[in-house]
Amino acid sequence: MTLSLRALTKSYAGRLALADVGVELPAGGYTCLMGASGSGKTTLLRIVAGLERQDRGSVLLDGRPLDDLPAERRPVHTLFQDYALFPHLGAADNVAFAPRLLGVRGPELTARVRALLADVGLDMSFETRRPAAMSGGEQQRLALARALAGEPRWLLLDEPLAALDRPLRAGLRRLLRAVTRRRGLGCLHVTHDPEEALALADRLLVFGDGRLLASGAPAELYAAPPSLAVARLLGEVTPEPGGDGWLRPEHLRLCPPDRPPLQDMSLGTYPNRHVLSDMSQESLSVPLPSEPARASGTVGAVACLGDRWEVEVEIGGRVHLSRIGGAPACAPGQAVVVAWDPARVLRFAGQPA
Amino acid sequence: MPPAFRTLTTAAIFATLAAVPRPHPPLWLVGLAVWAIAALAIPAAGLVLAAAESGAPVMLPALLAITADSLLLAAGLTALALALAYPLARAVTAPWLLLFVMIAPLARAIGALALGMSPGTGSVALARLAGDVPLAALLLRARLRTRPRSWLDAAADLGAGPWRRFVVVEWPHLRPAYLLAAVCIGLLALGDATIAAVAGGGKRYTLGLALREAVLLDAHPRRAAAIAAIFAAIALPSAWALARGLRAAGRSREGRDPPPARAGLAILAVCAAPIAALVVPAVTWPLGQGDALLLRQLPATLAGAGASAVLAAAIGCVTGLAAPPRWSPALLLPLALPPAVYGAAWLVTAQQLGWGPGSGLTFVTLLPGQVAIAHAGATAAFAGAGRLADAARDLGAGPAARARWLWWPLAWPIGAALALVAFALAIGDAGAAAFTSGPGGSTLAVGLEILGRGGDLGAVPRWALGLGLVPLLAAALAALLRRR
Repeated sequence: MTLSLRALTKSYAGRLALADVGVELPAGGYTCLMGASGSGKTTLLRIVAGLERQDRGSVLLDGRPLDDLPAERRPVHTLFQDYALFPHLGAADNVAFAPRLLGVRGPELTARVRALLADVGLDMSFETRRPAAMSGGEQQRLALARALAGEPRWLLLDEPLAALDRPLRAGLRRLLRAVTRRRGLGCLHVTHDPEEALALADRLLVFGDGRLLASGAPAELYAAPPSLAVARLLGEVTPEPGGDGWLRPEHLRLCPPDRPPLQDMSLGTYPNRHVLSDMSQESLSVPLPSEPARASGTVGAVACLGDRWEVEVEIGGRVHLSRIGGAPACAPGQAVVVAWDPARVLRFAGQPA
Repeated sequence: MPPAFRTLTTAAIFATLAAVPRPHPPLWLVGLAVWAIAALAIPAAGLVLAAAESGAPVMLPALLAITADSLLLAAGLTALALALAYPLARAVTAPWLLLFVMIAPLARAIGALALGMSPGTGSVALARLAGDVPLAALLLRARLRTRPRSWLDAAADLGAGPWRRFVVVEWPHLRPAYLLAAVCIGLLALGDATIAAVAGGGKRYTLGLALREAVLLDAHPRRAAAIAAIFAAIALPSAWALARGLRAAGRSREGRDPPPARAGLAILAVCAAPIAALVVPAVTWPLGQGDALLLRQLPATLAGAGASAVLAAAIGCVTGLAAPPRWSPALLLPLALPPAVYGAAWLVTAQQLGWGPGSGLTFVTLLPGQVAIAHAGATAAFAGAGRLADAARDLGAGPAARARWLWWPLAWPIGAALALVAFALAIGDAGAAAFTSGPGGSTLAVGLEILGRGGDLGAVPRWALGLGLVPLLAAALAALLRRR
């Protein structure tokens, strides 16, 4: 079912939260909404869910307007940021909440609840457990099962992974992707984490000050953001040495002053290797330029980021960041040459580095 | 809880919850208008109309002298209660503090005299502080649960000692709770008529007692209206402060208990002394005519207090769950007006309407205060429940389904507990009922106060002890409910 948002506008006490937002979201797609705090992402989600009323505009599902339907009659369910699990109900009863309202009873209900709990990795021992007796990750799984139990056409996710620690977040992100893909469910996922958005989304919507700043495939938006604000929301950027453009730190390569540039690190260090399968082969085979741009500088600092290393290089009084896959063979104070592909320089009108 | 009581509570809360989906602004506006008219406008209008009739002058100098005396006593008691509350808040958990707060002022006043103290300022102070210190400690403890531990650790890490940490970090955090406690205790002390009448022995005057005498002894509606106007002027900002404090209390539920301090147990022992002093005379004096008189008043008192408590709990739960937060000051206003003001206003109004004193008038008079208490409790208990309503709506639950699957299971244990609190307050009230119960007193507390002033040495401590133990019984019942 295609979800259409048409000219949605909403303001709170004179402050514009959403300004004329319009977008078509195809059925079964995974769309991530990104933006800074207060950019209107959650407002948009709540309007689609029917929990807020827009001032202007319309929400349509397969061309049918949802605007006059109360939240309880819309075929969308939400995974809330704080999960909003019912504290007085056990896990099974939380999951059974929506099916019961649909008239499902008896063995069919039990089977559906058990299947859903199993689907999200919660075994039978959780059935009678109250949310207060569950960990954050377990609560998140339970909330996902509860939201899926009513068989929604679209699943709305409001920063569902924000409260979890990093390893748990990665595991649940994969679970989320697997479960929603398996069901062919349309998802609208609010997040401010670029890694999460790039990993999950088929389509990315970037918001700022209540306006839709950019929309497109995550890899394309990452590689060619339409504005500096969008570029920064999707990852770090560093000024182009000696120029007025910007570069992703992984596109700024290092080499000793007397040797040719190292192999391009951009593909190997593309955020999270698991998204590579989502990218077309064409986008992976960007040819290396025979004459890369170069500049000389001094290493300011070297830091290990776990799977990558970050090197600060000072060139002409400005600090530039380079991220590489392995430990760099340089130390602070050492002279280095940085090289980059001029084709990867990001340029934004009116926003020089 | 008796089955009939529970059924009635169930029916009242469930019917109201099902009937009032959220949000439904027009219906809520009608509700607010009804509340404003019934709880505030009618008694105020009655008092104003009675005062407008020609009569003796107010005697302003005497009134100002009483006001100053009353303010001085209230300020002194408030300062003392706030000073003692901190160690008590660190030593005793909230349910025990609530238990002491719910003990009837009349029982505390009779208990203070049973300790052998002569009527006067000392007895009044002990009887007041026995309830006021636990109340301040209760409010303070809620705030202590959210004390900024990371800031305290940071201050200690930077070299601040205990006193410096208290001044720089803890005091700014506790200040709203202290302010709220000061407002509550000041209002209670100013409006008190029961303790001043029984433990004061005519040596100590409060504005509440002056109001009682203006209406019941002197039949002076102008002076009564003037005193009520003073109370109204204090009540309006106090209601706003109460609403703010209540929101803060609701936010403090997720916190942790403060580190215990045993010193507060000694203060608790002092607070318990008046009630403990009633035990020996209560069991040693033989039964007499006073007992028979009070026993006759018991069924009607229980029925009236029970019915008003159930209704108040139901209304309080609904407003606590669903009323917009900006309405809280209006709903809490009766809490900021002393029972004596309500009693005086309703008595004067009833006289103009040709409605005689009795159980009906007492019911109407006590209800707004009970609703305000229940609303306060429900607001604090249901803070953050709005997100659950959103979740239920999102999962497809309409108004009836939400009432059945969400609000009812969440509300009924809290509603039952609030009904018990309201019941304990109503059964021990002699502040408002002294005006409305009629000559001889149709309620247990008023009858007890009359017997107390008459010097009945057997029945009075016995029944006062009974009143003092009502909260304990209510707490035991609540614990039983919780286990089920």
